[in-house]
Amino acid sequence: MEDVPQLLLELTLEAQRHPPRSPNRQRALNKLVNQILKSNLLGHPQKGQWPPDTYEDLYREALQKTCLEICQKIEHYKPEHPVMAWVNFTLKNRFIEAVKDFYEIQNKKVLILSLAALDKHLPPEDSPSKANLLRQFLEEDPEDIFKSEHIKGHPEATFQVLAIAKFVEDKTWEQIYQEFGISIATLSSFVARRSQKFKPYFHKYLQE
Amino acid sequence: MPTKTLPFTIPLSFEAHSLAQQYSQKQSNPQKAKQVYLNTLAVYAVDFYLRCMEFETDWLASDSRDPLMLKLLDIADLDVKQIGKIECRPVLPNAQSCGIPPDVWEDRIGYVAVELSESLTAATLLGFTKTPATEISLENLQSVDDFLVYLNRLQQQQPVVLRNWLEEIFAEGWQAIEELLHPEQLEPAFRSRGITYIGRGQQIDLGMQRAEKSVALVVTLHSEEESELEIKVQVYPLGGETYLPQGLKLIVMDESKEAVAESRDCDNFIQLEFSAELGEEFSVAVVLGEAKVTQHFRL
Repeated sequence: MEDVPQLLLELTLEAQRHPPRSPNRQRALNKLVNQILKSNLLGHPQKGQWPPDTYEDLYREALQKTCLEICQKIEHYKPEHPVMAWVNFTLKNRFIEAVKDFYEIQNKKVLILSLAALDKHLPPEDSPSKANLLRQFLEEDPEDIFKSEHIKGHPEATFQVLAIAKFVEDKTWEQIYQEFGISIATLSSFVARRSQKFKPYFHKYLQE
Repeated sequence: MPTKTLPFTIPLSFEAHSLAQQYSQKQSNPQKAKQVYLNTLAVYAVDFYLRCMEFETDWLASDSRDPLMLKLLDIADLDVKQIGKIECRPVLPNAQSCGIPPDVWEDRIGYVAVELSESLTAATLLGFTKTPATEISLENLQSVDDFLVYLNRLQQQQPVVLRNWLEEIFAEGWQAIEELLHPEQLEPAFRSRGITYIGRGQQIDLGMQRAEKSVALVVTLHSEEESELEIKVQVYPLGGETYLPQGLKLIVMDESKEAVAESRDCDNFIQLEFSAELGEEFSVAVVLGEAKVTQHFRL
């Protein structure tokens, strides 16, 4: 049997000894969090006061925030107390906050969906009128920006044409490559970079 | 034997799912909505992990928090301050590879694969790659350890802007000299002169594991004229040591020249002094055996 409290103390002091973001410190923090998560020394604040499913969600949220605080405030640990006393004190406080956040989020009807449940909760296809807004904007191009830029050496491959194919008609890069005979790397790089460049233009006309 | 630190499993709860839901519901069709949901969880996990590792991230400024950009491209980016943009790709349970869509092949410093659990309540960082491909086999990913080392190296390549020091603006990790050094170490170098100086220092770890040595890199500025600064770069022992390890080298380089100081048997510190003009750049390297730490500076 290894002495877990002693190991936790050593890892904490090891992390403190090295400057922020040094490999040794990061390694110590990683191991420390791993050890804390798998130790059976973690407290369970407010247990029994919540339905089991809700409790699990609250606990996970609080535990996650606790890990972050331990890492970011490792300097605050004082070796007079066992590491787990510090961790569990933090966990208790983060649990109280998680409860507050939970009430707020409940109003927004947030569900913690599993991969299987996700498929049943996806929003439906947009109405044609809404989908048309993007097409209309790309086609009209009120400031003549989309039509003025094209892939070098391919005047037919303007941003306008490619954006309609990709964003409105939902064509794959492969399909666009077949159509224009321009490599996927060139196509995608052009479209991604220009989308970035035209972001303010998009926002100006398509603000929701 | 190099030890691999397995990154810890990141718990995902209602904060993560709330964001995922918020952004996915703004999408125009179910496929796209699912993609955004999973992408958001992946970015959430990486953002959390990097903040645990004391990096500064700016998720809100990233495209993956812009509903419009999400609608156009398959994006899961995360801005890491002073370092660059990384892409966080979700990997489903039991998958053998990680897909990286052409939408994000540009302007990324790396791609992190994030495995999500069946219940979507846990995420694990699997590794990373610097070069994108449509599909990358999980076996071919570099480790998360290497990812952290890579990010740190990129950050060190960012120059420390010394001009800011004159306005008392110091980047993270640069401590007041009094906090860093033992009072006895301050004596000869800092107290004897009656002039004002601005100095800061940083702990540097040389080497790994057992053979490690920590030293302090101290940079002091002294200005007599507006346009030119006197710069002193010093290395001190840390951890209660009186002397520097023998053979430790301090190297200052600029475009055209290089100056080297090397510690002898019983040196309390070593130093190099030079002057530089505003706008000039130089690098400082501290070398001990195989270990080398380089930091860039700009005036």
